[in-house]
Amino acid sequence: MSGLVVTGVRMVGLSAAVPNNREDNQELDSLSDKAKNEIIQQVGIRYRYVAPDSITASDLCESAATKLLSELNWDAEDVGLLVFVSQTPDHLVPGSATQLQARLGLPQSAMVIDVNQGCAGYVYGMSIVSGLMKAYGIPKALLLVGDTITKMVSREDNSIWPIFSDAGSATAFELDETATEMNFKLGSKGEDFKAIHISDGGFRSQITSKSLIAENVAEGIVRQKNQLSMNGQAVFTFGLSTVAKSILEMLEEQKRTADSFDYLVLHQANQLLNNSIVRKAGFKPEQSPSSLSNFGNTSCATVPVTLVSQLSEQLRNGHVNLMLSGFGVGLSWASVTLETENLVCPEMIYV
Amino acid sequence: MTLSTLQNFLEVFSSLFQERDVITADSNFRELEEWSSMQALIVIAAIDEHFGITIPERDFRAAQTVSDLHQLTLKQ
Repeated sequence: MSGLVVTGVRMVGLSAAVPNNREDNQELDSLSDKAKNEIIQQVGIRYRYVAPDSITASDLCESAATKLLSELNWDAEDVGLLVFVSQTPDHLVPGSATQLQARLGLPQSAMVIDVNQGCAGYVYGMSIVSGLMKAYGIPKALLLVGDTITKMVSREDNSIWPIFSDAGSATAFELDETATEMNFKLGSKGEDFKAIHISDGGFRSQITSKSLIAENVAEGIVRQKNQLSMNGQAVFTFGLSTVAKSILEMLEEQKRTADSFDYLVLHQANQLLNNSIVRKAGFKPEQSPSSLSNFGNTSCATVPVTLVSQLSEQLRNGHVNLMLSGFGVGLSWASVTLETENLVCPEMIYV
Repeated sequence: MTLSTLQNFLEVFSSLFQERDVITADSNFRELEEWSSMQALIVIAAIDEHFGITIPERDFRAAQTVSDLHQLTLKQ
């Protein structure tokens, strides 16, 4: 299927927040020197932000949203739609979107929705928010996207503990007839869902005492069945084939070339993978900024974290032509092309 | 993309390793000192770049020798 096009909706600002607790892979004693070198040089991740028990994804998003509302001079009472994208909500029941409505002071009449999405979740969330705004004529909306994936990862899992990091974000949209179109391309490949998944803890396989036993899965990998597992090679192959192909199809459908974009902002999981996708999709390396070294893989928040940490100057001052692309857990992927103009984009927030 | 010869493939594969001089078509690459899960991704990316073929994960896991990998690039 070709793209989903939304017109008349404008992104007006975004912000991002991380917990003020940085860990350094160089100091991770569980890793060999060789493994440290691979993680830092090849995967590209030096620092990660790890939320303490007291801070959840909704807290990080709330901080980002509070700052953004203030800088936009928006009255929270005017926000008619809030979408919270996360795999790490405050509670299993209820979702966190209703609590965010109350904490941010949104009106009780606002439409508020939880979305369980990960690496593709920022762009997926943009498609949901902009589509609903247009369908219902909602003038102002907030997209909150964040995760504290470190809370679901075993510290004794050397295959993924050095990779994941926590962050939240807030992005504001307005109905505006003069806005240029946002053109989305979404995809799913559910048969490969086990490539990134947690076995126990949902309702297909409920938690039992066995779920909590730390198992030696492979050398350097000790985890419980209620903790995250990832088949890195399967995800890498997926990115290399499906995601690169999808971006090329998008260019073809829109009859555009890579050089018509200022930036291609990719989900930040692995620098080698991103370098390969950039090459295959015909972009230049300098078109694709990276926040991996300083912020790690923040799950659904990698795209806004990269926009805020690497491109805030450009986004604040003038016109930017963007392609954003997220991919991973699901497996799913989502890309969008859009133009921004003088965004409100405060500096990274440390909570 | 033209099909790779085994010799050409071996050159690309070996160039990714410090211990390149000891690598032959019959080498079990999983027993190389430098082999790791990251090195696997580097090999997959290099095959994709040089030969235009993304080897499916299951096929890659079944391969043992450099020659096995080369065969996989001819299969697609």
